[in-house]
Order: sequence, then structure tokens, then C-alpha cells
Amino acid sequence: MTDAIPVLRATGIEKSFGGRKVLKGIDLDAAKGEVISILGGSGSGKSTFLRCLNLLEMPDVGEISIAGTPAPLVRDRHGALRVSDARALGSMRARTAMVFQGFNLWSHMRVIDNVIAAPVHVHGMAREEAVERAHALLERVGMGGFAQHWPRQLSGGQQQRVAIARALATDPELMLFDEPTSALDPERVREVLDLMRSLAAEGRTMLVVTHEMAFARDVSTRVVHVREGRIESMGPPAQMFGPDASPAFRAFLSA
Amino acid sequence: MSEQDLPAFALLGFGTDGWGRVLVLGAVLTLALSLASMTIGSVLGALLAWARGSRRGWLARLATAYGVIMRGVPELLVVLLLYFGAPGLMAAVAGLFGLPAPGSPPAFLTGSLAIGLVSAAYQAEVFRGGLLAVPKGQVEAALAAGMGPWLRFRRIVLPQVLHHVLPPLGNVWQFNLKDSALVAITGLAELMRVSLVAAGSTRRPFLFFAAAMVLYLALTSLSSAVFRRIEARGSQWAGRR
Ligand SMILES: Nc1ncnc2c1ncn2[C@@H]1O[C@H](COP(=O)(O)OP(=O)(O)O)[C@@H](O)[C@H]1O
Ligand SMILES: [Mg+2]
Repeated sequence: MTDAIPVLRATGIEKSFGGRKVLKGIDLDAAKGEVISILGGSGSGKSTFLRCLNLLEMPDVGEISIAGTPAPLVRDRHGALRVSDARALGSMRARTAMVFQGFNLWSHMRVIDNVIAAPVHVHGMAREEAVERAHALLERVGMGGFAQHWPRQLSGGQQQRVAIARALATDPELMLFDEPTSALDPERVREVLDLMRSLAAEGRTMLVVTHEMAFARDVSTRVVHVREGRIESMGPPAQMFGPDASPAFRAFLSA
Repeated sequence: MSEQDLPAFALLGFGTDGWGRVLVLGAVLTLALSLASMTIGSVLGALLAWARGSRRGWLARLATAYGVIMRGVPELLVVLLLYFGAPGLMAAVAGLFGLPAPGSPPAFLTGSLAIGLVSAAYQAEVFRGGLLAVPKGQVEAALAAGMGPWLRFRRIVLPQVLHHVLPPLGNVWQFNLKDSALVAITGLAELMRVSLVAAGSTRRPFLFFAAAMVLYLALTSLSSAVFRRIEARGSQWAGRR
């Protein structure tokens, strides 16, 4: 199994904003079914890294491939990366999914339309099939009765569960979560974390930026500590939360 | 019997002495003029709004300058400039290609163009605001789902922009309709012009200006009712405003 093609391979990712280097060379692979928790202080570059993986941010340097397919990037004559093939970029993004801190449901679409939009318009699925699947997914995330609601009528936790159903609707090979529970009221955090646990249990490959230590310790297969734009240390949770963890990570945990 | 002695209903009626037909035709021309200028303004306004957000600095500055100029000068001046300036301009352009000078362009064309050019400046502001009101995160969600530029525009951006721009576009339309009266100065037989002519030839200015007022009000209130209907239909998702 060691030489199976990883779902994600990111190599040497660097990114600067206005001359300030935010990512200083990050390498990360994710095997199929891995749940990787990305921890680190605020401003350490976690979101930027995640957003580089589906090219919401364009890295300055680095390579990315999803299940063996390299991201369609070339160097222009100034040495900067740019997209070489817009279609290939679209299909790469279509094979991944992202769940945002702020949910980002499309506010002019009913819940059901949020869930079927990508399957129908990006993947060309027949509408009836997409609707049927969407209803099943909404049931699964506990939002079965809300198909005809507008996003504004839902609580944060409900919106995030719909956003997860939307992400699942295209059966993505890789799911990227950027602090999915950070904008929720404390009593709503659990409903989303429980759902994410069930996704992990069914073997979804997930990268999760989070501050939920219990999730990182109990659910993830690997914990990554990002510090000042680098991976400071990583390992299985037993190691990272045990006595042999790096001093920097222990300092982060106790802060 | 002179027209000054005729009863108001006869003067405003559709009989031989009546101006009714002329006034109604004037109102129709006013509506056509406003529709034409609104359309010109929408197309150019959308282009200007897009240019304002362009990464090419000169393009953004050009669009900004256009807005400053068009919103900074009297509409009447633009109407006059186009009406009296167009023949000379057309002759000059024709001359460049060694062609004979064409005649004057019709007043309807220069009029709707003039009002449309002004309208574009205001509509550009409206569209710009509408574009900025689309939450960035929702566009990112569309990107992350693999939607290409057209799909993103058609499915995510446009419906939300329309929701935000319809009420202010209704305002622009109302100004547009009223500004069309300025084209009267070029002799085009729209509502303002025909009421001036009727007022002058019958010496009953109050009657005809009051009639024009009623017709203008009918046009503006009818069209705002239409706008409200479209808004109500498209904006369920945003709740009551
Ligand atoms: N679009 C941007 N433009 C400029 N600076 C940015 C941008 N996005 C992030 N940054 C900066 O990059 C650094 C890392 O940000 P981020 O990846 O969001 O950190 P984290 O998610 O770990 O809190 C921060 O200092 C942030 O201010
Ligand atoms: Mg972040």
C-alpha cells in the first residue's frame, strides 16, 4: 500500500502576500481515507495553505496533484505560476470540495438548489437524479425537512450541515475544511463535529483546519502543526498529544 | 369659435379640434425614447462597471473619468452637444474616408444617445454597487465547486446583482423618463414638445401642461408598478425589505 497514489500530493508550496512570505515551503501527502487535522496559531498560514490546494490562492512555487493528476500550472516568463488550462483547473476543483468557516451557501438558492447546483451544472448529472441524491444527503446531515428553506432561515449549524451536504453531493475525492465550527455558537459545534466524525468513519479523505483539539486527537489519522508558514511537526495523534511531542507544539497546546 | 373658447374636453379630446391624439403619440414617443436611452445606458453602464473593476489601471481610470464628466455636466448640454455636434462629427469622419457628408442624424437617435450616455454614468454606479454586494465567499464557493466564469456569472453573480440593482435601476429609469423631456429642444415630437406646441397654438398653457403632467405621472407610476412586481418576484430569498 505504501506506493499507492496519494489523494493529495503537495510539494514545496510557497506563497507571499505583498513581499511577506506566508508559506515557506510546505510538503504534505494525504493517502486515501486519511483525516489530517491542521493545527497552528492564528496567522500561521493554515487557510492560505488549504486555499492553495484548490488554487483559490495561486502559490508562488510548488506542485500539487490530486489522485495523481497534476494541477495545470506553468511558469510564465517572470517565473510566476499561472493556470495553463482553465478546463483542467475546473475539473480538478470539481474533484475536491471545500467547507468554509462562513458556510458560503448561495443565498439566492433554496437549500435543495444549493446541493444540486454543482452535480447538475458542473458534473452534468440529470436533475432528477441530483434531486434524489440531494434529498438523501440532506437526510443524512439531519436537514431532511429543510429542502425548500432559504439559507437565511437557517441557524449557523444548520447552514454548515447544508454546506457539507453540498460538498458531498459531488462525491469528492478530497474534502478541505477551513475551521468549519469556528463561526458557530458553542452549542451548535457538536452537530457539525458529529457529522464530520461520520464522514471520517466512512473513509473520506479530509484535511481539516481546526481548533477542536478533541476532534484532532480522537478522529484524525494525523495531526499537522503549522508554525510561521512551515510544518513544524506532524504525526499520529497519539504521538502529537503524547510526551514526545515537539516543544513548539506543546507550547501551542498549552497556550 | 377660437380655440381659446373651446371647452377643455374638446381640446384634449380626439375630435377634429382635439389634441388628444397628438398628446398620446407624444407620450408613446417619450416612452420609446426613454426605453432606447435606458437600454443604451444599461449596455454602456454594465461595460463601465466592469471596466471600473478592471485590473488594467488605465481602463478603470477611463471609466471613472467618464462618470465624473457625465454626472458633472447638465443633461441639456449633452443633448445639445450631440444634436448640434453630431452632423459636424459625422461629416469629419466621412471626410476622412473621402465620403460625402451625410445629412443630420434623426433627432430620436441623437436624443436617445445623449440621454443614454448620461444614464450610463448613473447605471454604472448602480451595477458597480450590485457587483460589490455579492459576497466574496459565495463566489469562492462557486470556484471551489469547479464552476467556470460563465457558470459563476450566470448562476451566482447575476441573480444576486439583479436583486441588488433593480430598486436603484427603477430610480434611474424614472430620471431617464423625465430627462427625455430635454430632447424637446431638438424639435422631436415627444410629450414635452407636443404640449409646448399645443400650449402655444391654443394659448391654453395651463391646460396642456397639466395634461402633460398627468401623462408623465401615468408613465412613471405605471413603470414603477412594473418594477415593483419584478422585484417582488425575484427577491423571495432575501426576505421582506
Ligand atoms: N489575501 C491576502 N492578502 C494579504 N495577506 C493575506 C491574505 N490572506 C492571508 N494573508 C496573511 O497571511 C497570513 C496567513 O494567513 P492565514 O493563512 O489566513 O492564516 P491562518 O489561517 O493560519 O490564521 C496572515 O498574516 C494574513 O494576514
Ligand atoms: Mg484561517
